[in-house]
Amino acid sequence: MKPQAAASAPVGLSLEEGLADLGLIGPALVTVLALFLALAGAPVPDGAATAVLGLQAALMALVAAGSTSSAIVWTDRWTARVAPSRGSRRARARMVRQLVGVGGVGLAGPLALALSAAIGKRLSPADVPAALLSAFLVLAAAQALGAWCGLAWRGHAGRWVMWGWLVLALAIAWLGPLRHALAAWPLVAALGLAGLALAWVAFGRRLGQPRAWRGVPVFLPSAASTQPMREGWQRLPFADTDEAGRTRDLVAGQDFWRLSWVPVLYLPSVVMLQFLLNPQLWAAQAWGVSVQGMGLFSYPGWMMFLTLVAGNGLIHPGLHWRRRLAPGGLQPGGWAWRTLVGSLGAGVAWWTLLVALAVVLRPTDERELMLSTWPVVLGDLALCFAAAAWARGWCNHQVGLLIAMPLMFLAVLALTVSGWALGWPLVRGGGWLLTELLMAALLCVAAVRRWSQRDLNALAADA
Amino acid sequence: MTYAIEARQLTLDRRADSWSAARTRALDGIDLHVPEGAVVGLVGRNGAGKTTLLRTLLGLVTPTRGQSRLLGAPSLDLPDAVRERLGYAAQTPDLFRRLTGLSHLEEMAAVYAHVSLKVAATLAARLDLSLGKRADELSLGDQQKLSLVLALANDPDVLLLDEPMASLDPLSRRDVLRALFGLRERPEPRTVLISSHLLADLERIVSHVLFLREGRVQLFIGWDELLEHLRRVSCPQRPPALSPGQLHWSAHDGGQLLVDTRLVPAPGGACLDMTDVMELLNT
Repeated sequence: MKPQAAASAPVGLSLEEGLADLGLIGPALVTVLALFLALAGAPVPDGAATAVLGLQAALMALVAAGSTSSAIVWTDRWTARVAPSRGSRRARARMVRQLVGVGGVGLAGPLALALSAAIGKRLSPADVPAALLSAFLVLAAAQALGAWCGLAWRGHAGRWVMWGWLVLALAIAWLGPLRHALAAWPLVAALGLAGLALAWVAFGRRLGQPRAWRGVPVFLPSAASTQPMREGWQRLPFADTDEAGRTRDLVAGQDFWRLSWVPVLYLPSVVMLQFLLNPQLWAAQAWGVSVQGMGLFSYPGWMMFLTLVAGNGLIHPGLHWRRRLAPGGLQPGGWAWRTLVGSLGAGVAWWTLLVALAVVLRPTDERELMLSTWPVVLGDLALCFAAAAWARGWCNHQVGLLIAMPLMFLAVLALTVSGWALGWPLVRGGGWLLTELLMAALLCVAAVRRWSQRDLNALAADA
Repeated sequence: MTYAIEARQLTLDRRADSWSAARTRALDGIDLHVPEGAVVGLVGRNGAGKTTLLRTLLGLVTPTRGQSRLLGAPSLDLPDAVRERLGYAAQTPDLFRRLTGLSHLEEMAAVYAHVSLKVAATLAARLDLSLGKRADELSLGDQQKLSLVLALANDPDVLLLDEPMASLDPLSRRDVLRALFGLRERPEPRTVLISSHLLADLERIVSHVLFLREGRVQLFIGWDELLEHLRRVSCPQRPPALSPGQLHWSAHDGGQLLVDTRLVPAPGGACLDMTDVMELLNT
């Protein structure tokens, strides 16, 4: 019998069941980078300091959300068991340790960088505290916001708190002007700190209160059935079969499936956010731009990144036994086509949303830049989703994706370098887009053929 | 007499649908007095309110009216001293999927004052349960066993079990039933409230039985009393009103009357087992 039922029901993210300390790694890495930049001696550009600060703020918010959400999961379990209050106290103590640890480690780097930047700009000693305070406030606010969103994620704070992510995104989008404003008006920053203190006091009280709403439904266990017929789209799990047809690493695959939210959520939201902050970074992807020089290498790197995102972001229409056994139910070929089209549709929707955000948020010239990149990146996405689906059709395992990424890099590099050597016009225009779509279509057909021949039982939740 | 579990007029109204103001009654004025050391079988059809009653008694659901007490403390405000003496296994095993059985026990030991890892390990061995495996690697039956081991790990004085044996094989069920009373380290008897559809299993262990229907207590009686004094007699016509000793009239099998022979003589009345009584009370 396969692992089933309650324990395998998606009660929480893997990291929420005791391993939230892993979240420390992200802010720690950024702090190491920031300390390296601060201690390197060279003047730190304002843009770099702001980018590091924005990245750290996003990471600290995500980690704080994970910590509080984890504490809620544990507290709820002890409550459901009618356990002594020691259980809840332990969960809270662990959460506080994580928040303080991540806060301490996360603040150190950007503050050192802000200090270094202030010294580099030869600010007067009176202005240095204000510059530091602005950086401190941004990070502390991001952590507090993340912690509240973690509460809301689990239903212990109002749904409206989840809009905090949008507030954070907007704050990061205008981080440069925001920092300057806070540095120019220290009184506002001080008031902000007072507000944060109140938020933390309210947070402590809210933590002990009963659930206000049912939380994010997708992560709640089904009370009605141990094998719920999942409706709608699900992420395609990594689950391969060995030569004997047995499911290999299904459990490990599911763990990776959960952990793979890291690239799926972190990379688009953190890395792409940086692109959104500064659309000039998209200039190399704009319509009509030539791929040359460093672009011959950065473009394959971009395609490799998109392959990682696409490979982790493949979704499928579900393979519940009821849907498979019902007359007119899913056939492997139809399932594979739906998987491809659905995944690509989700990718295009995500990309379109990013462009739409940029169009709304950025000035006119950058708006046009983003609009012109939309069709170009659309071709990249189609190619990467098709390639990822094809690769996972051959080896639906983490290793398969890890192999597919460098292969994509090398293949694209070989094409661009060959084209450059042969003197082909490497311009990201209509011809480029058409070529990409053509290749994507071929790969789609190959992927569907491959998936149609596979044993889909390994992918079924009720296998 | 000291009662381990008490309920007075326990009533719970629930909204029928999330979009409607109509309310249904999940529990309807339940009065219950379970003496210390009693083993009560909670019996009823699906949706009768067994799980709701257990959760309300534990304070996990707030009743609309009435109150309940566990070990003398109000369910909605159980002090840690009482929680230490409680054991509960939910219908759906509430395990942490990434933790092994041993890690679960260690977490329990950090929270409960009297968790004996040795006793828990003995119980797990008796149930043929591997404590080294992660919860998500266990079959449903083994998850249920682990849930039971956790419920018994703190040697509780009051144990509430919600269909704990639904996924267990017959041998494991036998071992679980033995474990409910074996491995007891304290001198006081353990009070058990256990809901189950496996009536033959319940018949072997219960001292009392509580029949529940549509949120109402139909019958709460000592098991020996039931065997000795309750009888079924043929009664084609429904009596206009039940007299003392006439407990329930059922249209089943041409009309049957459930009577208490201490109040109503029933010569030739048939002896009953738990399934018979449940059938009579639900038809």
